[in-house]
Amino acid sequence: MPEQAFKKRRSVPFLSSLQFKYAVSYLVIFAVVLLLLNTYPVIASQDLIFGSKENSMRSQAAVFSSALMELESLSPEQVERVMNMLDTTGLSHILVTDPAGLVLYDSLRQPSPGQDAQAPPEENESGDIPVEETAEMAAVEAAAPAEAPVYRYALSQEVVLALRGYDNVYSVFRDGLFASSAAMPIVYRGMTIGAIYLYEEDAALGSLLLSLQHNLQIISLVIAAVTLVMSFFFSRLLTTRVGALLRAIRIVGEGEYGHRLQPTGRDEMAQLAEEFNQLTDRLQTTEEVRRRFVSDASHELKTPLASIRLLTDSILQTDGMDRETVREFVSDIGREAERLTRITEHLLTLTRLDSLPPLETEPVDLNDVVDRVLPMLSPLAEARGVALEPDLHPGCVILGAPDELHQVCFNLIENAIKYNVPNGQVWVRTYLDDGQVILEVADTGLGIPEEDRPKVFNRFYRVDKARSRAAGGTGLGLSIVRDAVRRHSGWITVRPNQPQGSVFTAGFPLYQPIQEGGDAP
Amino acid sequence: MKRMICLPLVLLLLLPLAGCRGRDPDQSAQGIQLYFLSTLAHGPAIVGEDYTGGDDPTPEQLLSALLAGPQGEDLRSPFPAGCYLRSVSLEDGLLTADFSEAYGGLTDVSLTLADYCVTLTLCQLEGVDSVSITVAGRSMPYRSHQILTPGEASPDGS
Repeated sequence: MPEQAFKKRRSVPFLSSLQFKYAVSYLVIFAVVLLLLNTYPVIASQDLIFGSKENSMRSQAAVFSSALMELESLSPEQVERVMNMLDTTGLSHILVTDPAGLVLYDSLRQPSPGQDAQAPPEENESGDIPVEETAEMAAVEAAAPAEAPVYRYALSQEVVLALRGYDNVYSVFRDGLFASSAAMPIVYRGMTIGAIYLYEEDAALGSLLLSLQHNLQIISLVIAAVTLVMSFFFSRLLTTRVGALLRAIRIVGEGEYGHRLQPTGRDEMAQLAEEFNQLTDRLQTTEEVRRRFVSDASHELKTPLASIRLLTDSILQTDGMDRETVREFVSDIGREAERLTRITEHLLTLTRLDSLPPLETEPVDLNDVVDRVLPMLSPLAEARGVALEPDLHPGCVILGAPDELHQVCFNLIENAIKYNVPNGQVWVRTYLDDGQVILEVADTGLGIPEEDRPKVFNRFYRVDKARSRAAGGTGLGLSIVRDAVRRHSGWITVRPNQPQGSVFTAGFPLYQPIQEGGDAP
Repeated sequence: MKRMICLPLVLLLLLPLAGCRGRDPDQSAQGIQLYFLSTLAHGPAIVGEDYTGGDDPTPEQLLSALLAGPQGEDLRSPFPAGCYLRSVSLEDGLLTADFSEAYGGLTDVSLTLADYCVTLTLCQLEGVDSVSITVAGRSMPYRSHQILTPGEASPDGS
């Protein structure tokens, strides 16, 4: 059947396919990894820098506060003198206030050495708060005496908290900069005489962090692209082999038992393909056996029916047939009918054995079974002039089904009688051997050629068809024996007898009852 | 199944958000503002809140609204409990606000904050250039100066 028909019949939607699920699982894992890659290093770096900045700012503020607290009271001149002696490298802005928040020192308004002492323009970050002097204020100042003081209060939350006695440090990454501030009260003999406020902007570290973040994003994009491609590639590799297996199963399911896979690689998929091939081998063998059996059974059933038909036609179409001839023909019809009956019974027995539920077993003494079978076959043996020689040893108990064991003994002994020579002998022996019960049936018949011995247990197999039919055989007796022996966990073999004949040997596990008060032996 | 498809997309969309941290306080203000104290840990100590009492309020109306306290959750009043307005007068651009004795209990930075909440609020009115605050008719001697102007306050410390 064309592969296109399979695809058309049961195509899997892509979003439901194994390939898509496999690829998505890859992508989800890598997405989580990339998310961690882009967040954790950056956050960890930020936290590290924040911690370092805060410690540094706190230390610097403490130094300045300690230096200023030596002054009993803070005045702009005194504060300026002290601050000029301190190292303010790296700080963008320094404020010192009095307890009311009045600015006593502002590093942004201090003149550089050699320059006029003019305050730099005030920075205004809030548009509606005119920190810079308005025209009105300038006019007021111009009209005022030349030395009128200018008051300025630093009313940020950091300064207010410091003036209320709380050290505070703050660091934030903003606009590519690390902006850090620290404010601390200046305490003299337990009294807050002012506050010191430090502010720093570190662009270098900010740039480094942004660069790190940017590089991680680029790396993430590259990894994401590669992952996307590779995930579909690897998922395709896997699902292609699964698809091939699926197609093979469908082909075999349609009856193409000869279809096989080509296992590649050494992974579980390769093992699955090998198992599939072995299974299909067994399936093919079973199917061939079944076909042969049906063919053989049909032939075996047709043969006696054909004979019956021929004989009846002869009787009907021959006018004036003499009585003896008619009698002879009718006898032949009777024999063929009996043969047909036996074949049917044996087929039913085989079918029953094939479909039997687990064996209901009980301890059975094989010698008892043989003792029941021998009298039943004695008339046949006498008619053939064959002597039956039993040699039964005690203790041959097995766990089995009495009826099936009876069938085994009956078939073996019957065969030994039917395929014997006149004045021949049949020995029936039972004995124990290394934990097994052995049943041995030997005859002095013509024997079985070596090339036929492996096949004699096959259904409908006959060494000599003509002789078998003459003896009333169906070709199923030994098949029944083998199947029954196997159901009892036993084995059966055939070998030539000396000087002539055959020996059939069957072995069964010896029944060993569980002893009271101890483990089973 | 659709959730399984969306999940990796959501995770991928989260990537650009990595590394964001910190924010600035928003101080966009329009119209007349009432100035109160911020309760946040960083940023300006004095923050404005929209006055909702109508257009062209009088100084008394503004001060009443100021004394009533803020509406916002991140704000608090600078005035001590029991403080009330005794009188208001405006002359030559100088508005004098006289508060009750309770106002006199404020000192140091608490006094400064209260003074400039009043000053920043009132100087938005036309004709008010500066503010003088008295307590029961008397000036507060430990204040560095008595005539307050909005330009003197630098709410963000810069």
